[in-house]
Amino acid sequence: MNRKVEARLRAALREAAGTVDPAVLRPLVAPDRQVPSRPPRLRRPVLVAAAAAAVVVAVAGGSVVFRTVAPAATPAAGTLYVVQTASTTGDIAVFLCTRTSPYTACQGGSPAAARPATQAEISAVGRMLRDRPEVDSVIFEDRHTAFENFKRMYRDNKLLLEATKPDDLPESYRVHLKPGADPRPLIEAAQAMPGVAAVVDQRCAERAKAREEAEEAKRAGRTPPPAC
Amino acid sequence: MRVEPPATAEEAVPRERVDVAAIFAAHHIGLVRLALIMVGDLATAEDVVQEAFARTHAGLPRLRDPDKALTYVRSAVLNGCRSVLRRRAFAFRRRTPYEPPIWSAESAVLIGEERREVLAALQRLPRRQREALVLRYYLELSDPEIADVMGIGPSTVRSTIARGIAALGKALKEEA
Repeated sequence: MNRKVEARLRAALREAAGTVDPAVLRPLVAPDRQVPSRPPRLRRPVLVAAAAAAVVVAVAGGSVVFRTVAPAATPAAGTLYVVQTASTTGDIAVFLCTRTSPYTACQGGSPAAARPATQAEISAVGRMLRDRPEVDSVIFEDRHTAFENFKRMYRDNKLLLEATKPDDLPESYRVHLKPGADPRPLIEAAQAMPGVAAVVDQRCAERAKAREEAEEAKRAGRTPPPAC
Repeated sequence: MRVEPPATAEEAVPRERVDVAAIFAAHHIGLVRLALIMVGDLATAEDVVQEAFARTHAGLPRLRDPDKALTYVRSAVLNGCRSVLRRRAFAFRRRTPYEPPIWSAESAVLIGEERREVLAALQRLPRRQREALVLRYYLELSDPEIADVMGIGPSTVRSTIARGIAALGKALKEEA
């Protein structure tokens, strides 16, 4: 009897195991243990999808770095990472397209067709932002500054640093809004402009901070900014 | 209580580093399958393996015996499955419903009726018997290997498997 039970068990286990399709398996994400200097809420790597032999890193809550790494160079080759990093400054970050941007807004149909934002597009976005009534101030963060910030934030993550070149980091506008202003029309307008990869409400990215601000606004007798 | 002898110069030499990522990469699919058999649905199985990976990531490089790394990793996955099953036992605490297990008729995964019956009977066995049977008849591990993964003695493994097979045979006969 036991032989028969054993055989049935083996077959059943094999069939159960066989239902796992290796092709659809979510890749494993290595925890970023070596970055204690950043606040904990920003240290959550979020898995997005698999891409052949590429490590993709999204930086600053929405901007994206894309860099291909030889499979031998990294145990996690073939994995797409999105890494939230600290916002350097500003309420709203408007990230501009890079050559390797994975955002569809930059790709015009296919990832291979991704093109960086032109100088004219960059200036146009800046003008638009500065002209809006709800905007208090606008700062342009160039590639060099972005890379310096990135290096500081990930100084302990060799893999990420080796895989990332300054060219991978997008340039961005950091927008400060006037107190109580509704960010949504601005986000929509910016997102619609050519050369813009993504627009991120940093305060939404940092919910806790947003809640604090809302409470503060209530105390001060102002209308709290709309929820994300 | 055993007192560790003072560290000698020999011990101070850094131990060979274990590449956790490589172990997980090589055995990812196998570990997910193991977890799937234990917990019944793929999404949870993947979570269990991911969690075990994250947790062992820091600990493994200090392993005393690098050859035991895979054993260690399997133990971690098995442990994760236990936690999941324990959590599910408190049905009222469950906030999000999980996928119907692959051995239930509601599962979207297509498994033959006869196989489902075996898997369902396996789930009703005591935890230790179930684990020992899976390690033996799915992973085809030896008694000492199973003992290492489960943290029990080899003789206990033998008797547990014997009892598990007997119980499974009884359950299947009764249901048939």
